[in-house]
Amino acid sequence: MQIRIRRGLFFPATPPAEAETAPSITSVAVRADEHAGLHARLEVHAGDLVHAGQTLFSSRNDPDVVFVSPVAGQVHDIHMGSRRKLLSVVVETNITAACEASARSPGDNIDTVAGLSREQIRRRWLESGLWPAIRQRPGDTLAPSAGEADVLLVSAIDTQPWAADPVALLEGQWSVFWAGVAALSRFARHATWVCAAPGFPQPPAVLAGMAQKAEFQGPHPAGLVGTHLGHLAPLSFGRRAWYVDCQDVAEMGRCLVNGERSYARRVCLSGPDFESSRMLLLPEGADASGLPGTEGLQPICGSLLAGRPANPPFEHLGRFHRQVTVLPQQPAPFGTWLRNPAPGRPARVPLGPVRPLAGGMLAHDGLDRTWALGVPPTPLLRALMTGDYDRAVEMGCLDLGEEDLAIASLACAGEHDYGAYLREALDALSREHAR
Amino acid sequence: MKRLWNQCIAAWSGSRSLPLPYRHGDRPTALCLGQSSGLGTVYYRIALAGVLLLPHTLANWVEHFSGVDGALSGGHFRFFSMLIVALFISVLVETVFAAGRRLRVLDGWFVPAWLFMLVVPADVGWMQLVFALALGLLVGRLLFGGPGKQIVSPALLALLFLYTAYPSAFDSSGSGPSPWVKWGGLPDGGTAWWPLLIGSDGALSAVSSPAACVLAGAFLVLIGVVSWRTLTGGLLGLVLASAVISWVGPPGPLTSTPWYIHAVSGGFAFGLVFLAADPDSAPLTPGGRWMLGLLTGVLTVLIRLADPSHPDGVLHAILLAALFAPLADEWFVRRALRLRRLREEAWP
Repeated sequence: MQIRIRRGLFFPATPPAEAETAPSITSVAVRADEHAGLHARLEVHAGDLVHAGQTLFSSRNDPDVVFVSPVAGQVHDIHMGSRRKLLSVVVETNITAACEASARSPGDNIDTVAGLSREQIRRRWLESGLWPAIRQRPGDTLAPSAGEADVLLVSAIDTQPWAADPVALLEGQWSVFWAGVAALSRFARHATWVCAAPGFPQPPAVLAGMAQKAEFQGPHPAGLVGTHLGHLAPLSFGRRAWYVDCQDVAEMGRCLVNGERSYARRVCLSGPDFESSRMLLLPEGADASGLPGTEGLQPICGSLLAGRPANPPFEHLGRFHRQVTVLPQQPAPFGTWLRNPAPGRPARVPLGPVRPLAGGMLAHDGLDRTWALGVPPTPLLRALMTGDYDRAVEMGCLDLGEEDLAIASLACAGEHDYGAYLREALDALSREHAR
Repeated sequence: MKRLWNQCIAAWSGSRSLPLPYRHGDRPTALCLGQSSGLGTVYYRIALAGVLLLPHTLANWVEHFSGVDGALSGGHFRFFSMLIVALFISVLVETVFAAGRRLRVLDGWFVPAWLFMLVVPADVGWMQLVFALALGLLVGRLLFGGPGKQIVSPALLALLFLYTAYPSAFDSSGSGPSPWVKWGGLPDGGTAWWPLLIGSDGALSAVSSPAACVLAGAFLVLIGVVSWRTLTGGLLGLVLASAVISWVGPPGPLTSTPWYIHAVSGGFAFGLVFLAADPDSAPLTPGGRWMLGLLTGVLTVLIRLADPSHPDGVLHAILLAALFAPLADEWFVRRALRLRRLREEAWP
């Protein structure tokens, strides 16, 4: 199936490069804050020694879903947020990542997977800490450890600024990748789609009937799951879509075929005016702040659109980050010293109680030009802003996650974080639906 | 008093540039580029597009006051002093509202005053200017809550107020020193088209140079502030209406006016680019934008030809069209929802 996206923004991509092993990484983190609605139960204390694969924390609502340490080392820090919500667990270590290419053919691997029952596969992924790689929409949350999805998407396309080509990310792992797709397709009631760009290889013939490729072509939102769902399977209440990133699929396949995990991840390091862009093999959750060649620059975990500055205490990559974007250090804008005093210092002008944002939003055409979903953007965004969730659901907010609205936050000049509005809407809807 | 003063200062220095916030426990979302530059950038660009119209406006003011004696009565002096007063009124009104609401001053406070001054007839009196602009800002902008929430452009309301309350300011047949027609509607028959388009003297029949408005419109469309649909729709509506009327209407010099004369006369070019397509009050859907443009074009021709007491008709046409825009929006949104529901039901 071929789908052409006409509107959006073309961003530069990272030039293809061989993956190279990064010098040793001194700390990794497993993050809980990137999973919406996760209430974590800590299983370790600061100072504990842990081995690779040991459970660090689990989900309170779904105790079978565990989050494991990708390295052997010592628990250095446990970051808590407001109301003692777990943000991340940092493990100090000294390792370099390694990931051997799989020598077996896809057919053999798929046969191996076919010999396993669905419950065996589920158990294997839950125990090895791979289950959190599966996310569910509506809600953009962790997939529940029981049950299955109506439709399953393997996300093998990335159109974000300076994104890496998934074909390069999967180099040498094709056989385990297709095995992972075959295993995942057991959890889909209706269809499994491998969403990819035109250059991505077709699924091997043995996968016919299990998974098919959906080709997306065009500018930026073409690579986002919300766009894929909107075109392939628009969601309504009572329908569930699961989606998994392609590198996680390869890891899931490797876990089933070899019985072990590599905990390695290819991450591309690039950015505007950054000459030595390259692809690195890093352990999951590696510290992105001290990578070689980025001294004096500002690294961003993830893309420019939906990522976050790699500043302490959040300098580690998340599970779903495929790239580190490197920006030049920005000087503070003129007048900042007047408006934003240093923390703990009085303002230099006598500021009264001023609410920071006035909440204006213009219906300007630039927003429509970046929007690739079937419904017009401004009514949807305004429904989210004003809390008109019935209208928002009708307009398809169940398909969406925060990253889908990042481009709207950029295109709308109104300083709104539409991702945050969407999260509020999804939380409210899930609370209402749970009752 | 001290508190009021502090509140006013705070309204202007309220934190515009937020540091990248990470609230503990929240999920990270678009924080890097996604923290966009603020509505101010959009308004600065609209104001910049308005600068293209300035030479024509200044030429008109200079010509208008050329016969008047007195040291401080030149057109330049008069225009810029009135501009300063208009901006001062904006600052005053906006500060009072912002301080009262404990908000920072809304972005784009200077745009209505700037657009208003670009096209206001030079005959306007000082108090007329003050009243019209203050009312336009109050009713058009601040009552509804500011950027993106208003129904019609505040500059449009200010001009309409002036037009209704002080029609003499718009009266082109009056005894002013210079017979510049401006908001007076259609020119006499036999006028050449090129001078009308450029707005050169001798045949001044538009409020500002239509050629400059075309340039400004192209700039605003290019940077994504204004929708090309509204502009195209407006021209299309104008062409359609004038063609239909010249075909079925009673014969006469007015009804046989071709569309290209309609397009370059009166306030049509300015009104379409700066008042109808204004992103502050623009419709939310692409279809709604088409409707707004089409209605503006059609109504302009209808009012011009059918009502001799409104020789220009653009302001009223935009007002009426803008009031229908939310209805059109709702219709197009429901259509999009229907299509989406069909797609939802299409897969098993």
